[in-house]
Amino acid sequence: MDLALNDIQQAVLEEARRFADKELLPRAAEIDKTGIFPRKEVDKLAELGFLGMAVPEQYGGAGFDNLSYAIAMEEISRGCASTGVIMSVNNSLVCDPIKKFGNEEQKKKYLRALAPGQRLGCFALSEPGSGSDAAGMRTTAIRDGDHYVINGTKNWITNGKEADVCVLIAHSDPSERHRGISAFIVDREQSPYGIGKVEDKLGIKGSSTTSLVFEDTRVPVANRLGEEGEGFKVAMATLDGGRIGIAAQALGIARIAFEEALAYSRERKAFGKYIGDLGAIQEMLADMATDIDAARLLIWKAAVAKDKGERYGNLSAMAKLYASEMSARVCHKALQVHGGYGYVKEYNAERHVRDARITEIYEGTSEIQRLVVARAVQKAYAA
Amino acid sequence: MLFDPSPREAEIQALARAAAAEVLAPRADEVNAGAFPTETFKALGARGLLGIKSPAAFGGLDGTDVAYCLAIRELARVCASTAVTVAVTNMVGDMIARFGTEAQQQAHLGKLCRGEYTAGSFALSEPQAGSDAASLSTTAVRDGDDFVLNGTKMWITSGDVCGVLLLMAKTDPDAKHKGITAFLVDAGAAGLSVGRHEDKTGLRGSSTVSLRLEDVRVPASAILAGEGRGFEIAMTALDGGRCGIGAQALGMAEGALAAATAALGERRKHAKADNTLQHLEFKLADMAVALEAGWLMVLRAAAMRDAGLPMTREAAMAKLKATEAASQICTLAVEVAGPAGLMDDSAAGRRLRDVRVTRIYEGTSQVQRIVIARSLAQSVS
Repeated sequence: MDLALNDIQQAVLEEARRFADKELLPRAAEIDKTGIFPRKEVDKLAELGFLGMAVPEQYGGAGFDNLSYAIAMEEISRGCASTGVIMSVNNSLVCDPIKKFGNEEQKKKYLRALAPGQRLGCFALSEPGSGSDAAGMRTTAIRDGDHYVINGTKNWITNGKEADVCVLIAHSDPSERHRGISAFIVDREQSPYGIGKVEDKLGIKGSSTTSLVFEDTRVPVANRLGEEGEGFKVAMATLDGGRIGIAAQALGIARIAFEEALAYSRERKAFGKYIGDLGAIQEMLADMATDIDAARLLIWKAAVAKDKGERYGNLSAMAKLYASEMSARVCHKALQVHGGYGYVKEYNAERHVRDARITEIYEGTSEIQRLVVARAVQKAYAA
Repeated sequence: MLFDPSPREAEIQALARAAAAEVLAPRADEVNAGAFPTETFKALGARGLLGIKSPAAFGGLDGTDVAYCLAIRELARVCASTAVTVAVTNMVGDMIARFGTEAQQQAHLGKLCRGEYTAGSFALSEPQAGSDAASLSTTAVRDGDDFVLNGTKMWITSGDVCGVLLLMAKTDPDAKHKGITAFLVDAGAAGLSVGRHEDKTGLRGSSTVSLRLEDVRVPASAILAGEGRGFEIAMTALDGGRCGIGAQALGMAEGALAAATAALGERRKHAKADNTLQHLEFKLADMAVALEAGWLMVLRAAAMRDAGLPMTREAAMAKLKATEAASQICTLAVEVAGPAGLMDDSAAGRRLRDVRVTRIYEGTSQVQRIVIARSLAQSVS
C-alpha cells in the first residue's frame, strides 16, 4: 500500500507552507482584529494558482489534483483561517460546480476569470429560513423569455461583499421541492444584486459573510448551470467537494493551535519542570497530535477517492465531521495548555478556538454529516 | 498516493476472510464460552495465516505489515479470541524471521507457521513489570555453555498451549534496558511450569497464564540476536504488534457495528415514526467515522513499517486511536442494540467484553501517549 505523496503534491505542500510561514502567520492576528478582507494575501494566492487549483490549465487553473488542493488548504488555513475559507469557497463552491456542470462557454467565460483570481466567487444556497433543509428555500427564479427573474434573500454568504460571480441555487418551479430547484451563475456586473447585512462573527473575521438580496434580478438563460431542475444535484455535489476543503481548513487551524501549544509546553515551567513533561499535559498533546493525523488521513482518503472518480460523498462527510469536531477539541485543549495566557489575545490560542467553531456548522453541520454517514453505514451493513 | 491494498495484500485479506467464515465462525460461540480451539490453529497454519509475514519456505505468506493488519482485522471481526492467539504467534514468528539465525529458523519457524506448535508465546510482562519493561526481574545467569533462567512471567497469552516462547530475561541485572536478553525457550523445558490460568472479562477463548521458571536451563544458542538485545527486539515486536492490536480491535469494532446496524433495523420495524431513531442512527455514524479514522492510522503505520521508515510514534498513535475508537464503538453498539446487547452471548455484548483489553495489552493507552509525547517533545528541542 502506497501512502506517499507524489512529487507535485510534495511541491504544493512545500510551496503552501513557505507562503503561510512567510506571509500569513505574521498577519493572521491583525486580520482577525481588524476584520479587513486580506486582499494582498488573496492576490498572492492567485499568483500561486491556489484559487483554481483543480481547474484544468486550459481554463486558467493550475491543473492540480484534489489531494493537492486538500494539502494546500491545510497549510493556508494553518497560516490564516480567514484566508483559508476565502480560498476554499472560490475553489470548491464556485470553480468546481462550473467545471463539473458548466458548458464550454460558461467554462471559458467564468473559469478563466475565477481560477486565476481576476474575479472572486461566492456560493448562495442558505437562506434566513433554510440551511440544512436546503429544499425549503424560498428564493425563486422565474423564467421570463430568455431570462430568469430572481427574487429572494440568501444568507451566510462567504465572500458575499467581494465576490462578483455568484453560483446561486433557487426555485425555478416553486411548486416542486428538490426537483424544482435550478442553479445559476449570476454575474454581478451584468445582473446586479444587493448586499444585505454584513455579519459580525465569532471567528474567521477576515472573510466577509453577508446576505445577498435579489429583487427582480434578471439572469440570462445562458447562465443557468446544468439543466432546469438539476440545481439540488448541483448543490449537493458541490458540497461533497466543499467538505474536503472545510475539513482541511479545520485541520489547518488545529495544526497551528497544536504547534503553538507544543512550543509553549517546552517554554513554560511549573513544579520545576517544563509543563510538557507533566503527565497531564503530555496526555493532551499526545491526543491532539493523534487526532490531527487521523483527520488528515480521512481527508486525504476522500480527496484521493474524488481524484479517482469514485463516489466520495460518504468519505468527505466523514472527513468533514471528524476534522471539524477534532479541530474544536484540539483548539480547546491548546487553549487549556496555555492556561490564563490562552484566554487573552497576547497569544493566539483564543483565536483558534473562535476560528475552528464554524467548521462544525458551514457546508453542512455535523448533524447533516451524520445523516449522510448513517445512511451509508446502513447500506453497507444491510444483511 | 493510494489507499488501495496491493493485489497480493488483497489476496491475503481474502484468504483471511475465507478462513474467518469457514474455520472461525462455526466455533465462535463455543470459543466465546471459553473453549480453546486447538484444531483451529492447525487449519489456520495450513492456510499460512500463522506466518503472514514469514517466508513461504517455512509455510508463511511472505506478506507485508499492511497485509498482516488486513488479515487480523478479518479474523477479529469473527472471533477475537482466536485473532489474538494468531497475532501473538505471528509476532513471535516475525521476530525469529527478522533476528533469528538459520538454525533457529530451521528449528522453530516452520513449526510455528504451519501450526505444529499450535501457537507461539511472547513472555515479557511480570507481576511487577508491565509497561515498564526495563524493570524485569527474571534473570538468566550464564553457566558454561548454558543460561539458567529464574523468575515469574505474567499475562502470557498461550503460555500453556504454545510450542515455543520468546522470553525476555535479564542477563545483566544491574543494567536497565541493555541488560535484557531474548531467549527462545521450548515449551517443554524442564523447570518451566504453568501457574495461574486467568479468568478474564473477555477473550475467553484465548489462554492467559502465569509461568514460573525454576532453574530453566537453555543453551546459549537459544539467545535471539545477541546478549543485551532483548529490549530492542521487544520494542521492534511491539511496533509491529501495536499495528496488529489496532487491527484486531477494529475487527471487533466492525463486528459490533454490523451487529448494531442489524439491531437498529429490527428496532425500526417496531418504531412508531422514523425520526424517533435518529439519535441511534447518529451513533452508527459516529461508530463508522471512528472505525475509519482508527483504521487509516493503522494502515499508515503498517505502510511505513513496510517502507522501512521509523514508525514508533505512528505505531503508538495507531494503537491508541484504534483501540480507543474500538472501545467507543463497542460501547455504542450495546446502546443501539438495547437490552439484548448486554447479554453475554450477544454479538454486541461479547465485543464489549473482548475489546476492553486492547487498550491494555502490548502497551496501555497511557504508555502510547507517553511514547507519542516524548517523540513530540524531541521534535521541538
